[in-house]
Amino acid sequence: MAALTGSIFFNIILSIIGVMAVFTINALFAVWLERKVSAHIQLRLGPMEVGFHGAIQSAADGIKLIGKEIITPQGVDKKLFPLAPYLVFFPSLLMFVVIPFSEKLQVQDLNIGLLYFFSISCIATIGIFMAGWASNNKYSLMGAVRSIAQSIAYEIPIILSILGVIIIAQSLKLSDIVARQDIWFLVLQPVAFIIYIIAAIAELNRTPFDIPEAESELVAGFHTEYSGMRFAIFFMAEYTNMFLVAAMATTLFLGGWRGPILPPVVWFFIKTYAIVFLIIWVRWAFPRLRPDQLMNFCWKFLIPLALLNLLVTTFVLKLF
Amino acid sequence: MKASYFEKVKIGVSTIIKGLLLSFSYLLKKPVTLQYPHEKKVIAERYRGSIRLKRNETGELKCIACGNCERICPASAIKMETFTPEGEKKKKLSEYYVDLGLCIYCGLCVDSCPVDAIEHSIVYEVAEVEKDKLVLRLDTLGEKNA
Repeated sequence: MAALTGSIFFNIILSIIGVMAVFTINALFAVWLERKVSAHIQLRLGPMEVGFHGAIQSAADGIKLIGKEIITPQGVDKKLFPLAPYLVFFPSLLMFVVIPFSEKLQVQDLNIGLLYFFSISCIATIGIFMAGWASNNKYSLMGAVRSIAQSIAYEIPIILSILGVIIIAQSLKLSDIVARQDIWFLVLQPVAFIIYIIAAIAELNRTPFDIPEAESELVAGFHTEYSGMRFAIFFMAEYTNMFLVAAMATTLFLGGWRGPILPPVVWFFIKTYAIVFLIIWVRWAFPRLRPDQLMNFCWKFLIPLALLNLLVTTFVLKLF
Repeated sequence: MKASYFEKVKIGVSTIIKGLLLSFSYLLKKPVTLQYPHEKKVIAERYRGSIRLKRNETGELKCIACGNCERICPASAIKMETFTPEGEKKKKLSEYYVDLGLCIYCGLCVDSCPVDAIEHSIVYEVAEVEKDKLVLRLDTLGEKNA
């Protein structure tokens, strides 16, 4: 047993099981949370029937989606169409690798963890474009094109905002960044935090930046033609990305797993789901922006603000 | 006058905060949903539900089989069969049909009854799996009344 626990294979298998467990439980919980929060904001109750206050409604929905026929519409690209959901799905899994759930609980503490995280997150955009293109549907294609434009634009403020954190922490290693947060970076970099959250919501394609899947204009955007489990994979990837973005916000700005009394993992999840709640709350408070407003907001407001923030940060650090 | 860049930013930020706080205040309010099969709404006393025939103190039907309700019914939902017993002059009901699939709950039958023998109950859950069961007869009129 001792030889087994030390072996690299054992570690790999354990990591995969752990990541898949977090992935699944988060997808179920986040969907339930979204439905509950949205319902209560609109003075409804949301799911109430399956389990206590609909707690296992997501599992029931999952079973339903597994049972559904996988439809491949006529005229779609036969190779790309089934492949696209996985290209959106796997980056989400890969991004879990660097998330520090606690001091020890991390799959791999890469010394370029932050760079790795944000590079991998870009791959999903290719999957989205693949889905839109392969669907042979104008709504899907429009959604995919918008998604690409939006992702490219909002990558810039997101990276600029975390640059401030990197400068203060002097490291790209996530464990180092957490270790340096005796004071939360939220206090030192409030503007960066706000820019990060706004840009992250845009990266997630969620309201008020959900032009790629704007229901009232594009049916469902890039996943219009997908049904059954293929749709579910897109759906799960969306909620996993939400968790990952929130986890990264926790790590960079809210002191990661650090906190008094409670175990580190619990602190990590409390902070992460607070951010997830914020993202859900924003979705149900605001209407959708027009594509041109979205682009203007990014290029004319977020990027100048992020650059200014970076400038002030470097200036202050040099002076003191 | 056009608002300057910084004024626009100020307006934007203040409205965002206002919107967030407003939706959060709704989050704390009590939901208005009625959980229908588990909770039922309070029905008004004069609600026009499914029709039932009244009985007098001795338990006999008050109906005098005049046929007013049958004639006035705009949806032709009411049909009645009558007979005259031996040695009597007055007609009596032998069978009374109310087709709830046709009934529009207008209340004209209740208004037109000269002896006040027919009334609305407050029963509104009259859905059935089979179409035939929607037709109430003398014996089943009582069941739906509960």
